[in-house]
Amino acid sequence: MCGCSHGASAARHLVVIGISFWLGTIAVGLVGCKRGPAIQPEGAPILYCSVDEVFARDILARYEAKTGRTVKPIFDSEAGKTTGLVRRIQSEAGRCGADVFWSSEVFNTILLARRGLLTPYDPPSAVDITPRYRDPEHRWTAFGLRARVIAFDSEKTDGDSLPATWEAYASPEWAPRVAIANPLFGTTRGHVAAMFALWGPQRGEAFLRGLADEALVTDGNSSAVRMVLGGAKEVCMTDTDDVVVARRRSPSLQCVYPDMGDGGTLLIPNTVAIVAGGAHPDQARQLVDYLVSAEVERLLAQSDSKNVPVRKQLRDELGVTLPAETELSYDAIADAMDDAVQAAREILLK
Amino acid sequence: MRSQTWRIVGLVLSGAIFVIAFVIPAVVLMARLLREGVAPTDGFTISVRQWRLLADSLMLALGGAGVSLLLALPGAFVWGSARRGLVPGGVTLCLLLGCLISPMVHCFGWQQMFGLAGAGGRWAPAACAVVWGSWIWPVPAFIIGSGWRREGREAYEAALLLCSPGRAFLRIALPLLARYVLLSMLIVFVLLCGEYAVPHAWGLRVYATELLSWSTATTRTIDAVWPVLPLLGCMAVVGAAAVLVARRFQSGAPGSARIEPRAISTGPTVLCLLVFTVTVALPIGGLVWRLGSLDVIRQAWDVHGGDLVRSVGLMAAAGCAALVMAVGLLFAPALWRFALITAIVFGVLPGALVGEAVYGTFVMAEEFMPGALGGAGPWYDHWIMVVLGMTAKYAWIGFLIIGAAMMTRQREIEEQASTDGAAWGEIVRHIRLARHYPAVLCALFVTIGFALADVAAATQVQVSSVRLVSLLLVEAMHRFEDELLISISLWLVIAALPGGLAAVWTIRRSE
Repeated sequence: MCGCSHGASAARHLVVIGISFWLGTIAVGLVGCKRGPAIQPEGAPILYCSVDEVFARDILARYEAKTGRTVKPIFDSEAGKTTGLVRRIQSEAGRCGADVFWSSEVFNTILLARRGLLTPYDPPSAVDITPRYRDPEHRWTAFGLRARVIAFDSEKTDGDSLPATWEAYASPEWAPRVAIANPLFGTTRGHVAAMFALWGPQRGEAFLRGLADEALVTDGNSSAVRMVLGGAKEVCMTDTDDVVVARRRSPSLQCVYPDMGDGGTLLIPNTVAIVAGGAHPDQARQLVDYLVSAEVERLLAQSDSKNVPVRKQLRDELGVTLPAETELSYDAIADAMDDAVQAAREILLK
Repeated sequence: MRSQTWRIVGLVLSGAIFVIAFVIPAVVLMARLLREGVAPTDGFTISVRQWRLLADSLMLALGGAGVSLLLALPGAFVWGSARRGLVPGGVTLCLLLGCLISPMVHCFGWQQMFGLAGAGGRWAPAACAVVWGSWIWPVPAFIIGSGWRREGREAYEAALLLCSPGRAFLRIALPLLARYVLLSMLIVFVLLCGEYAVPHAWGLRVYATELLSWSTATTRTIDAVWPVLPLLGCMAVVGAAAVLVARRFQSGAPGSARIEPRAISTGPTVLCLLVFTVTVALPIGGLVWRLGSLDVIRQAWDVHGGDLVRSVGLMAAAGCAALVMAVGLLFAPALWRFALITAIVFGVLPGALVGEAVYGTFVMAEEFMPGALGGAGPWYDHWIMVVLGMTAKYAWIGFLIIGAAMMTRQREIEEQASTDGAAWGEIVRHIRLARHYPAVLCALFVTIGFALADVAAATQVQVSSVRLVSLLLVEAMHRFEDELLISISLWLVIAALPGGLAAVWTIRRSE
C-alpha cells in the first residue's frame, strides 16, 4: 500500500517535471526565437545561404567572432537545392528580405542578376580573383569551386574502364548503369545546360535521349551517390563535395573528371551577391567582403567540402590542383539554361 | 468567469487562429492565382512519368498503411481492453512514444542498425513501407482500440454466450470494428501520402518529393498548385470516404464510455510489447549502439541544442494553437463542421503547398504593412510563420481526435445538465472537456510529433531565428554525418519522453 502510494507520488512528480519541461520548452523556444534588433541600419543582415550548413555555420561563426557582428542565416534544404531560396528572393523582390545571397552554385545567381534583383558591388577582398569568376557588372563574385564528376565504388568498378567523356555515359552500354540527379534543379541543371551550350541542342538532346528510360533519376546529387553506395547503380553524375562526404561512409568511393568535349569538366563555384532592397546595405557589404576573401576560400578548401580555390596563389599554398576545366563561360551556360531545362522535361522526365 | 464570457473568449480566440491559419492563406493563394494567371508555365505540366510516380506513391502509402494495421492489432486490443494498472499504462506510453518519435529517427535507426551505406534497389519500396508502418502503427492502435473499448468488446463478450469465439469475432466484433479500421487506415494513408523523409532516406522518389521540388522551382503559384491537382483528386475520394466513415462513426451506438477494468490475457500484451520493442526500441537501440561516445551527443547539443529547443517550442506552440482552435470552436457547433472540413482539406494538401500558402500570406502582409510586426524584420522572417504553417498543416489531427472523443459523450448527463439549467458553454467546459482532457492532450502531443517530423512545409516557412530540426536531420543525412544524425535523433527521443509520461499520467488520472 505504502509502496504503491510512494510509487504514485513519484510518478506524479515525474510527470509534473515532464509537463514543466514541455511548458518550459515552449517558453524557451518562443523566447529564443525572438529576433534581434529591429530593421535598422545597424541591425543584423539576413543571409540566404544554400551552401551546406555545416560549412557555412563555421565560417559565419568566425565572421561574428572577428567582427562582433551577427548574421541571421536562412539555409536552403537539400530538398530546395538553391531554387528554394532563389524563389524566395524573387517572391520578396522590392521588399526588405535578404541582404546577402551566398549560393553553392552560379547559374541561379546569374538568373537573379539578369532580373535586376542583385545590387552591384565590387568587393575589395576579391581583387585577386580572376575575371572569369567575377561578374563584369559586379553583381556577383565567385570562389571555391566544385567539379562535376562521375562517382563510382572502386571495389565494384575499375576506374580505368570508365569512359573519358561525359557524352559516353549516355551510350547504350553505360546509360543503364548511371544515376543522375533531377536535371531541373541544382548543379545538374547547370551541367546539362553546359552540355547544351557546348554541344548545341541536337547533341544535348541526344545525350538526354540516351539516358531516358535507362538511367535512374534521383532527387539530388547526394541521393545519386547513395544509389551507387547501395549498389542500385554503378556510377553517378555528381559533385566532388558529395563524393568527399560520402567517403565517410564508404572509403572506396572514388571519382573521375570526364571531359565535356573541350578539354575539361564543368567547375561550379560558390557565388556571393548583395540582394537589392536589403535593409542592411553596409553590413551586407562587410559580410560579402569577408565571404569572398582568401580566408574563407582557404576554409572551404580545408573543409570536408574540399572546394578548389579560384586563387592560384591559394592553390599553390594548399597544394591543390585545378582540374581541367571547360572553357565555356557561365553566362553562355546560363543562356542555354531554358532550352536545356525544357528538353530535360520533355525527354528525360516525360 | 460567467459561461457566456467563456464562450465568447473561446470563440474569439479559436476563430482568430482559424482565420489566420486557414482562411487568410486560402484567400491569399486564390488572389495570387487570379493575379498571376491560372495557366501553368510552359513545361510545368504533368507528364506520364509523374502519373506513374503518383500511382507508385499511392501504392506505397497503401502498403505502409497495411503494415501499420498488422502491427497495430495487438496494441489496439490491449489498449482497448483495460486501462488501469502498470501494464496498460506501459502500453499507452509505448503507443504514445511511437507517435512522438520522428519517422526519420525510426528510419535512420534501421539504417544504422544494418549499417546500410546507400539506398535504392528493389527492396527500397518494401523497406519504406515497413518503416512507415513501424512508425505510425500507434495511430491505428489508438483508433481501433477506442472502437474495441467503446462497443467491440462488450458485443463480442455478449456473443460468446451464443457462439464460438471465432464466430463471435467474425460475425459481431469485426463488423463493429470495421469503420474504426477503415477510419484509421484513411488517416494513416493521408499522412503517408504527404510524408517526405522516409522515402527520401531510402532513395525513393515519391509524389511528395516531386511536389516540393516543383513548388521551390517556380515563382508562379499555379505551378505549385497544378501538380497538386491529381493528388488532390485522389485525396478528395479518400476525404469523401473519411467523411462518410466519420458519419457512421458518429451515428454508431453511444456504447459504454466508461468500461469496467479487467485483467488482460498475457498473450496480446506480450505481442504488443514485442511489436513496440521491434519497431521503436530496436531502431533507437541501433542508434545508441552506433553512437560511439557520449561526447558526440554533448557536442551535438552544444551546436544544435538551441535549434532543437526552439523547434520543439515552435511545434508545441503550433500544437497548442491547433488545440485551442479545435476546442474553442466547440462553443459554436455550427462552425465546428466547417472548421473540421477546412482543417482536413489543408491536412490532405501536400505540405509544400500549405507552406507555400502560409509563406505567400506573410509576403503579401509585408507588401501591405511593411514591418508591422513590431518593426523587427520582415513578416516572412518571423517565427509566427512557422507556427502558423504547422498549425495549418496538422490541426486536422486535433480536430479529428477531439471530434471523435466528443462523439463518445454521455448524452444523458448533458441532457440532465441542460434540464438543470446549464448553459451550452458550461456543458462544454464542465462535462465534455473535463471528460476528454486526455484526448485533448493526446491530440496535442501527436500534433507536435508530426510537426517536428515535417520537411515539406518546414522548407517553405523556415525563418532565420531557428533551424528546424527536421531540416537539420535531412541535411545531416545528406552529408553522411552519422554522429550528428544519431545525436539529434536521440535528443528527439529524449524530448519525447516527458510528453509521453505526461500524457499517460493524465489518461490514468482521468480514469
